[in-house]
Amino acid sequence: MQSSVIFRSFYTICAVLLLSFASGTAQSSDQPKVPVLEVTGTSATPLTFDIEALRAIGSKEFETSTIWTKGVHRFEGVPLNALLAHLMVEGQAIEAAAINDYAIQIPMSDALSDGPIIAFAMDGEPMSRRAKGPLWIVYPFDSSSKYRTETVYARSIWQLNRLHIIK
Amino acid sequence: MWLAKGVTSDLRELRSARNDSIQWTLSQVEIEYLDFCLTIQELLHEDKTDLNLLRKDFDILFSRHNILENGAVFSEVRNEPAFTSALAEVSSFLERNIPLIDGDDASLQSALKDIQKDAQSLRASVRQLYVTGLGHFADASDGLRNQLSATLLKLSAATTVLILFLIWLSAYSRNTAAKSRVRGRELARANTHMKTILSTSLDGVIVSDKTGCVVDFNAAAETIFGYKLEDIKGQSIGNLIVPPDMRAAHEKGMQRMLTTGEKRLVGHGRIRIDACRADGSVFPVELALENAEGADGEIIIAFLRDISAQVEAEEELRQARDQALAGEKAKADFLTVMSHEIRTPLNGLLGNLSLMGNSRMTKTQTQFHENMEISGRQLMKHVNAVLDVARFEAGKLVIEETRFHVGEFLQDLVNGQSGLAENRNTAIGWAWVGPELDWVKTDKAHLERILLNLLGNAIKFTENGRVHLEIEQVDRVGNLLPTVEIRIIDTGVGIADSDQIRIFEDFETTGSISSVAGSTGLGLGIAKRLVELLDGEIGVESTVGEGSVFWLRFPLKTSHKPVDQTNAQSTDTATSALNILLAEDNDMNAFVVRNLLESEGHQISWVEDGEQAVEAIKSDEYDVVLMDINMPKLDGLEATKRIRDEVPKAADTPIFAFSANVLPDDTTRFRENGMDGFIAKPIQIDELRAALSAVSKGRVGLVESSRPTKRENGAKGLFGDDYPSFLERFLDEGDTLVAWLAQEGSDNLADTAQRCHKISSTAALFGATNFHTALVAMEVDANKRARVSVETRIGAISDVWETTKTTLTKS
Repeated sequence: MQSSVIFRSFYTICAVLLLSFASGTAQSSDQPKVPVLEVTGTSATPLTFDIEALRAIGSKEFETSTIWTKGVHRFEGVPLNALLAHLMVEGQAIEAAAINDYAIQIPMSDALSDGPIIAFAMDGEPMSRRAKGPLWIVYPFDSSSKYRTETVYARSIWQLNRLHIIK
Repeated sequence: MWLAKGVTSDLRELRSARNDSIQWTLSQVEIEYLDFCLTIQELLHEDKTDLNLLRKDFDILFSRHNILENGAVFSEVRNEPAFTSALAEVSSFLERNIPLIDGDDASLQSALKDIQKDAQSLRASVRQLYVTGLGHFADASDGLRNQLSATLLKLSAATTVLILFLIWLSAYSRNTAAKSRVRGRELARANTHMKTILSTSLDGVIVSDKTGCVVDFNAAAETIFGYKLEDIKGQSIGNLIVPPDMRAAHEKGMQRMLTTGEKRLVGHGRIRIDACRADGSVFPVELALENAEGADGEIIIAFLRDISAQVEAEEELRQARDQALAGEKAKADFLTVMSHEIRTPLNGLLGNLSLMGNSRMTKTQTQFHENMEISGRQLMKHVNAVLDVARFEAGKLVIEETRFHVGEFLQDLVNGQSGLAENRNTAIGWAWVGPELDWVKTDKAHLERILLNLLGNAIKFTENGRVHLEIEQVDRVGNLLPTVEIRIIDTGVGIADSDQIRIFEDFETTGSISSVAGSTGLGLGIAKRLVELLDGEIGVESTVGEGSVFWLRFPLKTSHKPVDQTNAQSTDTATSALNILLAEDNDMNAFVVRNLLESEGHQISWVEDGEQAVEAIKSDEYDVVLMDINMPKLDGLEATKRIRDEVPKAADTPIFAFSANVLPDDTTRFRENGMDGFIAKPIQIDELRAALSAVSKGRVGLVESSRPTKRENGAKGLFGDDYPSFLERFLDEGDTLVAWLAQEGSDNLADTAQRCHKISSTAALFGATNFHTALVAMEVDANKRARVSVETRIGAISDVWETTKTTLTKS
């Protein structure tokens, strides 16, 4: 058990290094290489990701309306399950927190392949902090009524900047 | 449905809470506004120095405000002016300060005081936002709740109705199920009953489909036919139980029923038909077919009963009946033949007695002669009575109605009996009781015979007493057909109760009767038959020692007085001269008849066979024909037929059979061949006279009487001067016959019968009774082809002939 954690940490570090390297080319773009997400609970030290690192893990797009915006928008982000697979973690739930310290627990069971994404772009544009960015957990609300519940709305946290894996 | 849809949509409304946590968002606006204000305060007092904290709080507030401005959940509340104006206030504040917030730290630091002031002025608007939004959503939530509660109310009502309906449905289905269970049980019971009935039925029951294939075959049918149901199920019934020779007809019938639906046997009750067992034996059955609707279409049900035993029993009964009838007939024939065979020699005896009476005798001999004559007549009477019975039995007696005066008739009758009564010192008389009748119409001869019998009996059994005849109309139906009762009352010995029914039977006598009078026991039997013939009844009431009453009751037609009374009454007057044709092959017979008739004044033409008779009739006119039956070439019957068919002018000429045959069957044959009557041989002058007198008066009837008559003369008298030559011929013929019989008598029996017949009538003429009897017996046997009897008779005849010859030549 101990060794598997060590191995996992090792892989994570490798992956982060690799991603940093891979995103080097995109550094010159207007997207500053600012860490936007801190992940805790997977290793002794918190992991941080910038937009490019997240995009490198995997990206998915869908269109949906939300109760907080007008009309239908296209959201692009890393699927929650892809991120968890990337982190190779198992646990009960994820505690997500926003800039204003709003926090909510998302059960692992929500992380389905057609489930929520950690969106980093809306309608092709990165989201500013003033427009609920830079990260927003968006469920495909329009695809199923199961995503149009108060619980799911509560989990759709915007201005996300921290994830904590609860084992 | 719409209800369910409504509930679902209401629930969806609740479930997909588009509202997020509205209160959270609304309160969060105020909190984040206050956070923003606090951060400015802290920065101004230099508790904090990082301006980015302010920028972050601004962005958070901005984002939150953006939700109120754009979020779908707030679209309705945005219609409220207070909310919109507050929103606009906040919006302009944010827009206004963006350049300062996004500016560099130094200008932001310097503008802090202005921003704080600006923000503080916004406080009322932020509060307004919170209060207006909260109020709106409380109202909306109430509306939703009310709607939901109304929907739920409707739902519960509908559910109640549904539950009631379900309860009713379940009760109904329970009821239906119970009913169908009961019906099922009843059906099962009926089925069991039916199965039991079928399996225990004594009749065979076979069920087939409409093509004639076996569907069911009960136990009785298995026993009757020897098949097992499991072996023959589905096979064609025709090949199983229909006898081979009837199968084609059976197939045709089945085909007809299939194609046209015509049913000749089905539903037509019981019929008798032959059937065939498994082992091929054919036996009779009684069969009834019915059709019905089965599970797989039309079925035919056959009920069969083996009636072999019944048919056998019926056959036995029929045979027994036939035998009994044949026995009866044989008895009647026997009686007739015997009587006839007795009567013929008796005639000879009486004839000879008459001849003897003409001769000189001593006193004792005269006495003996008289005794013999009395006994002979008595015997003749008995024989005639037996013949009468036979005639009755053969149904030959008919009613011939005549008109007569009933009073004169009774008076004559009583007068006739008064001599006998006087001898026994008995008074006799008659009288009407009640209204009288005079002229009536009935069969006088029958009535006379009945009354003579009853009066004779009464006189016989009454000594020193009284015999009285009473006549009375009883139960008078109308003027023409009153019922008459005649009572013959005597004061004689009487009849015991036990004998009273018996005495009307044939050959029944009481002990006293037979000893006193030597009766045949046929008198009352004949009287009873005659009364019944007249549609009447007869009976007796009697007390032993006091006397008897014999009564008869019969309908009597009344009539009127005839114009010529004297003629109507006379039955026995002289006959006018007639032109007579005699057909007779035996010349001696012919001679005798000619002599007799010519002496009566008639004119006689004689032919020797049937053909000549027909020719004679064609060429000449005759008043009457006497026709022998047995003649060469054409016999009497054929000749009569031809006369009736071929000679129109002689169609009504009376023809009398002239024969020694008097069997009832024969007289019938005569009549059927067109003859009017029959006169027995040997010839009796009275009979001839009666027949001819009937002809001369135009009243031809069946003349068959053969009363014993005293012969006027013997053979010598009949033949007169020609006697010796006829005797010689007779002797020759007799010798020839006896010689021929000895040689060839048993070879050609038809010839034998013919020859015997021819000589027998001649023998009777000469009074050669024994020889005559022997010849008649021979003829009968020869006709029956009884060769053995004929052979034994040949020897006997030879002996009789020798005796006869001796007797004849001596006299």
